[in-house]
Amino acid sequence: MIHDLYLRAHVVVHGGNDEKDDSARRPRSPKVWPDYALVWDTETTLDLQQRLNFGVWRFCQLQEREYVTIQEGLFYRDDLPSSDIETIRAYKPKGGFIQGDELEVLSRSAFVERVFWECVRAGALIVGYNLSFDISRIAVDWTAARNGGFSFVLSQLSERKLNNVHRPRIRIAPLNGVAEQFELTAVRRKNDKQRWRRGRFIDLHTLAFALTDDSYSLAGAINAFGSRPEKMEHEPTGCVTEKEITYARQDVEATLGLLNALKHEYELHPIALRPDKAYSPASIGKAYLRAMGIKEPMQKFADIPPKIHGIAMAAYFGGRAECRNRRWPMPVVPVDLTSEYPTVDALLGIWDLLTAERITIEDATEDIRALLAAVTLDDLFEPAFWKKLNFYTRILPEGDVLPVRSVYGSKSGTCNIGLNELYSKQPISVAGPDLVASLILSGHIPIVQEAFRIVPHGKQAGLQPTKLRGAISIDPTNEDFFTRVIEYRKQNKANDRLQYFLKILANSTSYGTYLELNPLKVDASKRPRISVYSGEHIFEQLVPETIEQPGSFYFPLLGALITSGGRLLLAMIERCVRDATGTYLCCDTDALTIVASKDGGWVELPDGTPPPLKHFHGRKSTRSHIDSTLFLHTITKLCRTFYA
Amino acid sequence: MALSHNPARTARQMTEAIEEHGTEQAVCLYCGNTDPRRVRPRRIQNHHLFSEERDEATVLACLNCHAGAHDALQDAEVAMSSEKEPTKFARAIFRAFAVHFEILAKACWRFAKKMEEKK
Repeated sequence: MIHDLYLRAHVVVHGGNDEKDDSARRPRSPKVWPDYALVWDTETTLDLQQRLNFGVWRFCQLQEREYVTIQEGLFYRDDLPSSDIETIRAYKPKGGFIQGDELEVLSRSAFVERVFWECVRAGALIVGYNLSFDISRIAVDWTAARNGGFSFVLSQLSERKLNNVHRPRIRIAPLNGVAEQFELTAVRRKNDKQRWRRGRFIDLHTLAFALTDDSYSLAGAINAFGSRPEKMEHEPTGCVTEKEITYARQDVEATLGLLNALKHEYELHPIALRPDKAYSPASIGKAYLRAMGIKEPMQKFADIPPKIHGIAMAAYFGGRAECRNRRWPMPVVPVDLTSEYPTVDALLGIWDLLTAERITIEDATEDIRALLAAVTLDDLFEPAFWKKLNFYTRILPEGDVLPVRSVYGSKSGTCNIGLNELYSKQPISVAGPDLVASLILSGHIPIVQEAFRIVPHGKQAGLQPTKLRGAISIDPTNEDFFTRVIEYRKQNKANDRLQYFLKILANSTSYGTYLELNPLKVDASKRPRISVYSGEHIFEQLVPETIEQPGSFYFPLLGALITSGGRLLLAMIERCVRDATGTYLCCDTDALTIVASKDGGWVELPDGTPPPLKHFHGRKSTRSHIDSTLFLHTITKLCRTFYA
Repeated sequence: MALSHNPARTARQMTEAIEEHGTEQAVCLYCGNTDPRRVRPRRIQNHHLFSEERDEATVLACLNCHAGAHDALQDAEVAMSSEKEPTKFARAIFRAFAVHFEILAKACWRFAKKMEEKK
């Protein structure tokens, strides 16, 4: 069946924002942890609108290593019924107040003006748990933002209900499944712009995620980090009562405790990253790379022509995931690779490339042809052999089993990636490990037209040792970072938090960082031209509506090689299973689920089909009488089979 | 610097003072005010006693005193935008008057004390 292939591309923007030096516009680097913090929370009605009832805030000052409350207050919705306002004003807690005889009680608008904006301009951390929800509750108006998020208006001129142009809006845009980016929009007066740039927003939910790779509730995060006090057991009623106020105050106190606990944990990491910029474990990972003095590869290796990156991007695919047998329950044995991508990095010598003073692209066509003619499955179990696999090729596919991005089902119309026997009249770019994987799965020696290797030279200047989570020293000049992190993790199994952090660090620095691309909407009136490089194809066009902006460590030559290595490991397992006359249920990136019974022997199918069937079915053969009728010509062709 | 009843505002003023002058201890050369919270580049401005939208009556104030007067107006809940309702408008005028006279009274006390100290 004929398919259109979809390839990734490397893009160079001409005259775009990324070519401008905006260092002059940036304010001075603020402290990692500022002197002040505003910790706050809101309570809302329980209906669909979830309107603000009241909120609690604590203005805190950094004293020694912790934020300490110096003022506490309550605020209420501007049009809250007077009886509810009276309840708030009359509130007297059993334990007394932190300062003075009473809480500062303000209306929402007064809170925004006298506390919130003052804190923003003071450069205080604006702290909350699921902060975007709280900001949306105190907003008086909103619009959809260009970048896919929301733009909230907090201040209006009192009588006219006009938006106050002397106060910024808060723009909140989703970054990933957990984190959001908070930005203050520009204010009318140019002289005031600098003051508003100090605004720093930190969602503790995001910070906890960045440190642990887990998405916690407030209670869960408090439990995970052992902070005090705990969250009060209470089911919100949506009313304004003394108990509800006590609950809200306790929530804010617990949030403050969590802030201090997260601060202690964060300070164990010798990184210069501001906590409000730690959006994910990858942010922490990149900060560690910077702490070790590693320069951003695109800048360091600026002499690598964009065409080479285009070849790498054309050869780039994510982890392999497929379902081979389905609709029948069958016994399985899962096989999981330990730290797959860090392992691939160590095997392929990615650290040597990343820390090299320079790298060169060297023709290796004859060398690669000879390697492919001689390689065996056994060779791949020799770690030293993997160092030969850091190459890219241009081949003419003649039934090679390669990852292909295409539209397989006419119903959905979406692109999927499948591992297929591919025939093409046009040459395609393939990463070295994918080509070897094809060879061990198909037995077909690829027709290599051209190949090049990436060769590292020397070590870059400025590399410096660092301590992982303040405990484990690592020297980037003499040690392979990925190997060490995996080994230290094994050695520190008893220290839960440390070994878990090492796992997160290894994963966050081993792959995604080098292929970080963030969607960015482009202003229609300022669309620059771009050069698009993909394999052998190069062309120019205007920037589309959305462009993928590269992350700071983006370097596809490494990224495409790493995922390709991951697929080679899976191919090795698949080949071993096949050699033992078996098959697998499914696989996903770093795991393959082998069909096998607990005691060995044949696995009978539920429909009573007697074994034995064929040992191995080619990728084209239909594997299931059900699927053959439902999914003609798809890659998920399944089979009735058996396994020892 | 001592914290006022609004520590958030004090924090903002301290941040601004440090950012603009590099120190919390900046001194106004002309009026001798050592409180750095409101010291800004020396300029005289017209301060609208009741906000520009309500009335044109102005007094001259340095940036420092101007900022102080506006803080006081804000604390007294005198918005800068004018009200349509006559009673609210009158209330704002009276409050602004009170703020004005309070600042004047404080200045008078300060001048008197200075003179006593000179003796």
